[in-house]
Amino acid sequence: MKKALSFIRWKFVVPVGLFIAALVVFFVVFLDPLLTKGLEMAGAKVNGAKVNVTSLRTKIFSGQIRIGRLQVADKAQPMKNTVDVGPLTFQLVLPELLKKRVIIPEAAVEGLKFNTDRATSGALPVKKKESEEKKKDEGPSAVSKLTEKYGGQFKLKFDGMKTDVKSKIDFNPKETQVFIQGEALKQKSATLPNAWQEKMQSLNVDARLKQVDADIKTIRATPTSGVDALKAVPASLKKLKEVKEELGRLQSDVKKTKTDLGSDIQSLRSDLKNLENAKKKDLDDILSRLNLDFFSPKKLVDGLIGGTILAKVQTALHYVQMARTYMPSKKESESLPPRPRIKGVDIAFPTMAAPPAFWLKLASLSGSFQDATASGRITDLNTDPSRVGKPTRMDFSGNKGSNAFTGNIIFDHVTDVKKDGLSLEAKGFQVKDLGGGSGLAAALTGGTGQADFALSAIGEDQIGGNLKAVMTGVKVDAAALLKEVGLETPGTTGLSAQDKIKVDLMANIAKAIEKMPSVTIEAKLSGTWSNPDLSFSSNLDNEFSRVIKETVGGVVDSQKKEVEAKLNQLMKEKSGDVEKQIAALQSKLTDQFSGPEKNIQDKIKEAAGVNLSSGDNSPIPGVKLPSLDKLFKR
Amino acid sequence: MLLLIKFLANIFSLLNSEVSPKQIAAGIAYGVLLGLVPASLFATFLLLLSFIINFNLAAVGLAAAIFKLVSYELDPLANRIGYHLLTQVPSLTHVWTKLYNMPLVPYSRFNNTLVMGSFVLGLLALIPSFFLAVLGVKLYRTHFRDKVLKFKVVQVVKASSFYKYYASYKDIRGQ
Repeated sequence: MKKALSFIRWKFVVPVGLFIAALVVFFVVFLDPLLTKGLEMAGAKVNGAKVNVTSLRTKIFSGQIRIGRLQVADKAQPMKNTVDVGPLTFQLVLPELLKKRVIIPEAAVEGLKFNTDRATSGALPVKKKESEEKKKDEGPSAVSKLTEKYGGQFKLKFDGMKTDVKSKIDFNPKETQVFIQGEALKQKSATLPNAWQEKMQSLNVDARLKQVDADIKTIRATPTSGVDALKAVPASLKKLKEVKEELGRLQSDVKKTKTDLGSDIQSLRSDLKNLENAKKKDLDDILSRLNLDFFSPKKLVDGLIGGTILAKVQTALHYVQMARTYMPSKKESESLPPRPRIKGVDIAFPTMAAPPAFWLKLASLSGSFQDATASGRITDLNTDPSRVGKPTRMDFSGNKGSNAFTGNIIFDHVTDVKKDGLSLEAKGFQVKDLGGGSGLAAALTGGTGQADFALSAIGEDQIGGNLKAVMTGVKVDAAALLKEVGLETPGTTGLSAQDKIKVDLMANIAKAIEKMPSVTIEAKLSGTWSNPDLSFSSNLDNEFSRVIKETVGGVVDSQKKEVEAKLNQLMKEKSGDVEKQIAALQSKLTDQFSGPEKNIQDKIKEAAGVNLSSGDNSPIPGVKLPSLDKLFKR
Repeated sequence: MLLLIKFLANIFSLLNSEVSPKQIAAGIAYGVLLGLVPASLFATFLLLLSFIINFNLAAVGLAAAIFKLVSYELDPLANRIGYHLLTQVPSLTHVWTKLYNMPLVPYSRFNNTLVMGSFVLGLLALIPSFFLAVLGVKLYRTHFRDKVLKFKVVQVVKASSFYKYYASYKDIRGQ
């Protein structure tokens, strides 16, 4: 007989129970390392660089977590920590933890330090696919947009100078404007004689003079006595008038054509003068190919301080943007979540009174910055500000003698419009501790400074900010500065001419900065999240201008003279050819017109000498004929 | 490899045993559900439950393995179902709210669109897969069992020392 099957497999109940118990024991025993790993992974995902947690201890039944040290690596400078803090103590609300909510009524954050060195790199391994997907999801990022806009601009571009300087100065004369325009002038002047010939032919001077000559002969043959004279003389007089008019027209046509041809020559002469402008343009073009960015003090300032300012502004924007991502506005909280992706999305169903999934109500801060002890507090850091109804605030301050700093950060995402503000003020800090960076910041070895930094972001469209730093008694390491242009502390011998320029320039810059009573740098951030603008000014411009003139003026002058001499020679050749052609044209013009002009004049004289009188000056007794002399202007 | 042979031997012996088709079908149906639900605390709970409830474990394992592979193709559909149930059905909101605010339940990730959608898909597949499996086992036993037993491959496997060892071990265990 078949045994009836039991619904429950009783013999498995105990093993499953034991398995669950073992699982619980495993999690209890290994909770600390598991939590450490979890915090590090979640932190790294949010921060974009490594987050290291050491000595994490939990007290399950009292709901307390203590972390020995927490290091948050700087994404832009992986060998630095943005924040290095510890010990940290968090008191959690256990019943809320069972509901998957982390509520921390009180926390103590001690030993807060900024910008500390790391033993290992904080860079994360690049997961291309994931990062691309994340970028797509995040939409336009002000941080990446700033890199896109200014990343290339705020770098010293001395690379390539070595090869470019010499190779590009050997220009091809046939590609210069002097050559091209000179050749065009030659061609133009060569085509003028033919054009002139055509114009002269169109005047038809010979044929017209021939007709005039025939007409004069006919007039001369006019009978001046007898009955025939009565009709013939008036007709001849009319004809003579027409001859006079024709000769006037011919004279005028010849004169006009001569003027036109003369203006062709004038135009050639004017074009010849323009060759001088072409030479200047050639000179500018050729010198612009030398890739000597330091010609411009502005570009030099951009390259030396731009990168550091950009990095600082980007760090601030990164954290504001992070707060905006993880702390939604009221409108965002109430809106439907986005359509699910591969791993799905979590939908929250809090009750009206339920707290947010994460809420750090109060954390006391204490730490130090450049030997100045500091204290402060964070309040209401949470994942649902509209539910909490209060903005997140972080305030801290510290001082020791003249070294003092204060900072206030507010993330107000309680209403529909997010309002974020950040202000930092530091006085008497050591400029060498500004922190790595690139350009000038990497070479600062001494001096004190004061700085104010303010950043604000309202809604999705407006961001604005100001940074002002004044540094006095600045000391600069020229060798470190030289490294920034790719030269590792070279000796004075065996340097190429171009490397010599770099060495001299950087040494002179270092000296010039050290001589300045104070260095002032101001930066301004404006625009929107999707299109931020960064501009800055500095009193370094004038100093750098002077340094450039002193250092590279000689080199540039000699190169300029070399190029100019070559261009002058080229221009001399071209303009010489054209001038010869102009002289020939002028001569041709004189020759071409001297003959017709004389012939016309002769005919005018001849026509003026025509006398239709019979001796008493009248074919009819008692009638006086007018003098023909007065018809012509001689 | 050994595990695979063991698994196949188990399936083979299960289909050819006197275990009732309904018991096998119940295991397959539960395996479908288990295979569809993504790895989570909830899936672990379902797995442990399968040991306690008297499903045929070989059938559960077989179906779970197959449907774990199928689930990747069904994820987009599951996501849509989950999203709809969690956000577009107001009458269910109070149920989700109640569950969300209960201790431990949120750790099941029921509020994740993929977990919810996959679970619902699994539940929907439970009854059809049960009846289909009953039909399949009956068909196999009446029409194909004798033919399959005559396959050379089957005979070779059955004659292998491992199979004999495994069969005797099973007899001793009484499974």
